[in-house]
Amino acid sequence: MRKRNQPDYIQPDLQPEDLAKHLYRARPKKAKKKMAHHVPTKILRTESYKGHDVRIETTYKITIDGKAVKGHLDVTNSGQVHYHPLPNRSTTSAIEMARAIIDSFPDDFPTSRKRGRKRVGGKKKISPYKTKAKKKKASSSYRTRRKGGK
Amino acid sequence: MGVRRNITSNSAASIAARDSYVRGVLALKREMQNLTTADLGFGVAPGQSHQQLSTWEFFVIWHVRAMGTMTPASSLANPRGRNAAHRGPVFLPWHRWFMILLEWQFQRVLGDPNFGIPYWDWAADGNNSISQQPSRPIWSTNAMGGNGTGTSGNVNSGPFRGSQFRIRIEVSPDGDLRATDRPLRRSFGTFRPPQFGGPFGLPNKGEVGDAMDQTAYDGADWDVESDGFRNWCEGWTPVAPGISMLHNRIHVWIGGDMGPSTSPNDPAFFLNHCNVDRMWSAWQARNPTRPYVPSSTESNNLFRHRRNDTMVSVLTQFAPTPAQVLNVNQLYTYDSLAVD
Repeated sequence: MRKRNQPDYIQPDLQPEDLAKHLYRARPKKAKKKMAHHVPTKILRTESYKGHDVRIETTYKITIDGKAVKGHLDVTNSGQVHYHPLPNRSTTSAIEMARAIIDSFPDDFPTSRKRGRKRVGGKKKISPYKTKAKKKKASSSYRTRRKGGK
Repeated sequence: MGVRRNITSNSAASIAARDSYVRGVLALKREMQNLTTADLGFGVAPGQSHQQLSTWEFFVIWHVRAMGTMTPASSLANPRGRNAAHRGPVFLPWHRWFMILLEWQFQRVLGDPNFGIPYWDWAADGNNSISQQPSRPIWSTNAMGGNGTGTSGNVNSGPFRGSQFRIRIEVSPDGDLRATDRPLRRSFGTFRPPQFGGPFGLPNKGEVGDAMDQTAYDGADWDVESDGFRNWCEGWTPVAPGISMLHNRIHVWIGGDMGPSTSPNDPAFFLNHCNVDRMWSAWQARNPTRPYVPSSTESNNLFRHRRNDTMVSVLTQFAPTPAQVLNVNQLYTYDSLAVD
């Protein structure tokens, strides 16, 4: 029931199944399931200074352990580096941002041995970021389950 | 109507709000829905498998989807990555709408139509020494639990410790949503830019006061480099190179799961945003004649940010405009607007 004095737009009592229905309908199409990847990232900075037009074009490609990091990178006119998968942070250099990426995703960038030490016995550890993950199929689709199928 | 209270106050009402918030989070987290990460086309983290989603995860996904919607899409027209929830004027109204919808879910599962999401007055904690900040009451075992431990930063104390509270979705280093199954992670105050030798702490009341002194809501270029209350509050106006202000610094200070775009995984996310919304309410009260900007006459490049543009919502058919969430006194109030 709509509460008294509520604005017209309010839709109270939204049940979780309503939210699920909308979330499923709003899912990206197959081709767009991943975030837009930008490798290498082209950055354009412009400014008009004392009547002169300044244009700076840079290209960034960050690789960690030889694999490109594909999220969108920005550099502002003040030199702050932004990486969209870490949305609340800016750094003063791309190197700093690469460190932040490594620190923020410990499962993809596990703490490794120091360079120069020999491995003494045991299995060689492979970075999970380099391992292709196996997808486990769900037993049925959302559509089928909603219709009461298996 | 909900009353939003200071989660660390010693009043009986605040303690009740804190306990209700914890109960409500756990209830929404355990309210499993007929939807899986596979249904939504997610990837899977290394060594993990697809997960069934709860009501709580719906809000995490909505946050990621909104910030993945660039406004406008063209990077030439939008060089600083303004999106449908952040880095532009809609930051405050979008999160206000986001929290209203979540608050209704709390009211439903708690059976309390007067429940209000509590806020964390982090600037009050920021007035303490840096070494004291990780042990403030909000991080006690009857509130949010403490810092993470070990190399991964898993939270092992409080109501959201790993055995009771699992993270089921995260983003990859490339920003793609994927399924996982692991504990919540935090890493207090560990981000230390190299030019600063020591740790950095939470924002303090003086920094909040600087933001409250801004006389315009926002301004050109309407992004991370514009002036105005919104950008000071959101935190792109730096205290010093690499040290963000206010809202952003809370995310970076807590670290762990508060870092990536799936940050609503951490229940502390909403306590931060409730305080941010409280700041906005206080600024509105002090500046009653200052309008929300940009107006509807501004460039179409500002679609989703202008006063009468609908905001992005993937959980509801309807979404309000910023204008429709400027006055929400009939939905909730704050126990105090003394923010600075």
